[in-house]
Amino acid sequence: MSTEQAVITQSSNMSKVWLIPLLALVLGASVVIHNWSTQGPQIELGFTTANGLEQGKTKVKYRNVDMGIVESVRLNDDFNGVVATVRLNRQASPLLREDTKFWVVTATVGIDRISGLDTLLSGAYIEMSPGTGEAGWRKFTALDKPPLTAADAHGLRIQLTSRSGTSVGTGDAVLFKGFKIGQVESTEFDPVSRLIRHSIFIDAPYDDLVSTSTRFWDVSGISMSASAEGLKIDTGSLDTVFLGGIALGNPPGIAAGEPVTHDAEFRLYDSYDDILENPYKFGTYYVVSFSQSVKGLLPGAPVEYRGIHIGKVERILLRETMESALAVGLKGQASSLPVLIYLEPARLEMPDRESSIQKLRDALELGVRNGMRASLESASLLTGAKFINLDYFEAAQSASMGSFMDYQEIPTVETGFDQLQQQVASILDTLSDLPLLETVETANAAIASLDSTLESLNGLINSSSTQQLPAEIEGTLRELRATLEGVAPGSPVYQTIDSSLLRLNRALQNLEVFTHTLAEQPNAVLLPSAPAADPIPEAGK
Amino acid sequence: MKRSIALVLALTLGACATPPLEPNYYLLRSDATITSGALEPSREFALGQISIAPYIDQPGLLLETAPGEVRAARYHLWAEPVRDGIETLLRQEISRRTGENLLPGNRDPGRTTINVRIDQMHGTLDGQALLVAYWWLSSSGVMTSAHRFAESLPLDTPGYAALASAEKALLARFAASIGDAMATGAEPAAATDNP
Repeated sequence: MSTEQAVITQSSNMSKVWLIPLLALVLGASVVIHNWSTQGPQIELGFTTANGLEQGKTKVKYRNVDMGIVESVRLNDDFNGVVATVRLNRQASPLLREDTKFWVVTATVGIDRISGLDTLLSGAYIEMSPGTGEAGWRKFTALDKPPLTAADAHGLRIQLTSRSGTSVGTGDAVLFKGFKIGQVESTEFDPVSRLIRHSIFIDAPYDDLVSTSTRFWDVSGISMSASAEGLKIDTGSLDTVFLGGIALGNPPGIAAGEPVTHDAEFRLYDSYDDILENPYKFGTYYVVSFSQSVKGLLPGAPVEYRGIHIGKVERILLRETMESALAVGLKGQASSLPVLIYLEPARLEMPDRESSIQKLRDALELGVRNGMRASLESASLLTGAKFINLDYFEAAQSASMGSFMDYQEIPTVETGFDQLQQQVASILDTLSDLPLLETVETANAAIASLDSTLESLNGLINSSSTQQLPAEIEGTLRELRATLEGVAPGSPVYQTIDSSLLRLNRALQNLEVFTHTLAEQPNAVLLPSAPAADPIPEAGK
Repeated sequence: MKRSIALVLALTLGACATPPLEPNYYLLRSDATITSGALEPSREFALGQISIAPYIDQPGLLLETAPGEVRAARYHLWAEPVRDGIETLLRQEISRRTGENLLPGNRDPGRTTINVRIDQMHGTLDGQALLVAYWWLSSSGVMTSAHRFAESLPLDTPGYAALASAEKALLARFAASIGDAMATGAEPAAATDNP
C-alpha cells in the first residue's frame, strides 16, 4: 500500500488584510507629498481688529483665486491689534513683496458705492494686492480700507494743495471734460503749512493729459451765479454733485506744457472762474513801499506795467511793518507801508515756467537801474480804488533793488493825484503858518506912512525948484558928455596924454640909465666917458 | 689954484665936445599894401586881450648876450610901446590872412575872442630872432581851444635893423598861424580890404 506523502508547502504568512494599511500609507504619503509640493509660505498679517477673520475658514484671495487660508488669529504683543497667521500656497510666494497690500473684504453699502455683497454668503475674505517692491517679505500690516488704486496700477500720482477747505474727499472722482479718469486717493490737512493736501491718481493712458500747464479745480456740488444774463448753474458729473470731485484741464489760450513726473505738486483752485482769474502757475513776490496813503489799495488790485496787467496785490505787510518798527525802536515815527505784490512772467508773454521767474527778476533789476519805479495810481476817482503801476521815470536816478524781509523791494515814486494832493496840502500848511494878521497890520501901518511920504513927495515934486531940476540935470549931463568926448580915445587930449606918457616913459628910462651910470661912475657928470655902444647881433647862420 | 680951475673947465668943455650917439627907432607894421575903402567889422571874431612878458615891455630892442642874460639896447628903440606895435601888427596880419576885419574898439561880447600872450621876443648875439607865444579862442568867457607858437629866424645882416625886421617877420608868421587855425576851425567871412 502506497502511502501518499503530504506535500508540505510553506504558505505566505502575510495576510491580505495588511494591504489596507499599506494602501493607506501610500495614500497618506501621497497626500503629504502633495501638501508639501503645493504648500506655500506662512505669513503674518497685522489687523486693527479680527472682524471678519476666522481661524481655518477665512481665505486669502487674489483676483478671486484662493491663495491661502488663515491658520490662526491672536492678539499682538502690545494688545492693540491682532495678528493673523496665514498659510499661502506656493503660487503666492512671488507675490509677497515689500509693498504688497492686504485688507479684509466685507459687504459695504455707502452713498458712494455698494460692494462685497457676495461675502454675505461666503463670509469675509482677505484680498491681496501684490506690490512691485523687494520680494521675500513675510510680515505685513493690513489696510483698514481697500486701497483705491492697485499697487501695480499704471498711471500718474499727483499732489494737490488747497488753501481753503473743499468738499473733496478720498475716493472722489477726477474728471476731464466730465469723464472720470482717476480718483482721489487721500485727503489730509498739513498743520505746518496749513494747507489741505490731496493725493490723486490719474489712470493710464489719461496721465498724458497732465502737463505743467494743467490746472485742477474743485467741481464738488453745484455752483450757481445770477447775473444780467440769467441764472448760471455749473456742475460736474452726477456723482460729483453729491460726493465731490476734481476737474482738470488747460486754461484757455495756454498750450500744453511739459510732462510731469510722479508726485508733482499742483494747486487746487476753488473753481474754474478762479483759474480764469489766475491762469498762470509761476510767479514771484516783490515788495513796494509807499510813504503816502494806501487807502483804496485792496488785495487783488492789479499791478500794471504801462497799462499791461502783470500781477496783483497780495496784501499790505502791516503786521511785519509793526514788528520791524518795534524791533528797531521806531516808536511813533512815520514809516512807509510795504505792499506785497505777486508778478507773473507769463503775463509778459514769457513761457509759464519756473525759469521765466529769473528772467523777470533780471529784467526788473535792469529796469530799476534805468529808472523804473513803482507808483500808486488811482483806478477810479469815484470809488477811490487804486492800483500799482510800474513805469520808467526820467527824473529817477539809477538805483538798485532793496529788500524787505525775504522779498526784493522795488523803489517807488509818488505821482499823480496823490502827489498833487500832498503838494496842495503842503502849500496850505505853509500858508497857514504865515503870520498873515501881523503882516496885514504892518502893511496897513506902512501904507499909512507911505501916504504921508507920498504927500510930502508930491509937494516936493510940485515945487518950482524941483520942476527946474530935470532941465538942469540934462544940461549937466550934456556938458559932462562933451567933456568926456574931449578926453575919449582918438581925441586930441587923449593923443596928447598918450604921447606925453610915452615921452615920460622914455625920460624915466633915460633917468634910470643915468642913475645907473652915476652909481657906477659918480664923476660921470664931470668926467663923462664915451657912451658904451649897444652890442651888435651877428648875422644869422 | 688957477691951474686946477682951468683943468676942470677944459675937461668939462672936452666932455661937451664928445658927439652923442643918436638912437634908432623901429616900427612894427605889416608890409602888406594898404588901400583905402570901407571896412566891414568881423561878426564872428574879435581881437581880445594881448599880454606880453614884462621884460619885453620896454623901449629898447632886447638881445640875449648870454644864456639867461638879456640886455636892452639903449640906442635901438621901438618907435612906440612894443605892446601897441605887436597888437597893431597882429590885427593887420590876421585880418589880411582870414578876411575877418578885426577892428580896434569892436568889443561885441557875442563874438569869439582871440587872446594872445607873447612870452619871449628877443634876439641873440649869434644872429637869431626868437618868438614864443600862446594864443587861445574864448567864447562867453570859456576857453574853447589853445595853441602855442615857437619859432626862430636868422638875421639877414648884423645889427638891430635886421633884428627888428626878423622879429616883425616872426610876428607875421605867428599871425598867419592864427589865421590858418581860424580858417580851418571856423567859416571865414567874405574877403575884404586889409585894415
